[in-house]
Amino acid sequence: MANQANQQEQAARPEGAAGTASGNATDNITGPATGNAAAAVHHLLPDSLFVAVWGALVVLTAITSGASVWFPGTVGHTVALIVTPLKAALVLTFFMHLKYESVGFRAMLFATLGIVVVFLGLTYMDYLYR
Amino acid sequence: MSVANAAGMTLPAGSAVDPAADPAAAHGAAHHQDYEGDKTGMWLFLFTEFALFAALFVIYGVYRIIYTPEFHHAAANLNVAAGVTNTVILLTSSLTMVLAVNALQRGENRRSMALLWATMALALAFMVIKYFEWGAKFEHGLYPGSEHLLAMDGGEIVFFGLYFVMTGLHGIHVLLGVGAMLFLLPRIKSGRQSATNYTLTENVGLYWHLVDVIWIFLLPLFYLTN
Repeated sequence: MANQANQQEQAARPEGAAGTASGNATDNITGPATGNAAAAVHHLLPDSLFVAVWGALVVLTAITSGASVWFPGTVGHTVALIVTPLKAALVLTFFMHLKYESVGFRAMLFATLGIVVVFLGLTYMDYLYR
Repeated sequence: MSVANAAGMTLPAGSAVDPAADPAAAHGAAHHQDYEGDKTGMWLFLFTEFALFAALFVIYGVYRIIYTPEFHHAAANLNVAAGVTNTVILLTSSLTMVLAVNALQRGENRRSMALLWATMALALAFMVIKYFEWGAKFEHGLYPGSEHLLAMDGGEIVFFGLYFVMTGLHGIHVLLGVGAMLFLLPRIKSGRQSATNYTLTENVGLYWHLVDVIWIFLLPLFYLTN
């Protein structure tokens, strides 16, 4: 337990250093003594956080499924349209650790998502209004 | 890998080696785990996977606009309970996966392995349900190219075509994920994956969560469309 607490403390400390860890020569020289770059970058999170996220995902699944079964049509589709991206965002943010990665990873994801959204949007506009 | 490891191993022992004087040694020691590099590569791969399914989503979207009533009618044939059950199974497997990564990072290799086995068991349960679901469709004469299917409306043929292609492609990804976990297990057991060297495990986890994310989108597109 003491070891775990220590690791968490160690992991939490270099918040700002995470982004610069790679490619920073002065940081790297102390690397072998204080631990590797990965340990500095990583944040150990409590299991309970992930259980809570899982609970939220199951509840959201129940909401979309319930809405589509009991309110088929516009209401069901609208709920699915709102809840589904929310579920994906929860998985990406917590399970896939995006919240705790450096800005670069988030930027890459948003760039990719942006391209897909533009592509989907333009295609739909074409088919809906032709 | 072995060269980088050797550099990392010798540095603390041979303290006479000044990293600043030997850029190659310093580089080797500092980058024997290139966390950002490994992660970037994995994410780039995930984007290509995402793009693969995104293209199918575009096709689905266009045909749904053209054949809206047929899509709603065809979707009524799908088993909502099976779709929702499989969603909960996959979400739970994502939880066991992330807990397996977390356990490894705390140095609890045995717990990590147990959680990986649980993840694989859930993946298997997902595939078994999928098997019975597809089996029921086949029994009703619903499979690509079947006479019964080809006698249906154009829009319904497209719906079932997309259903089989997209859930099938997703199923292949589930099996590949299980393969990746089987690849991982001996590495965790032997300690090659550990509290200080866990990037491979994290990347397998990322892959598994992507498989989960794709299914999250497939659920409303196919099962909740009536």
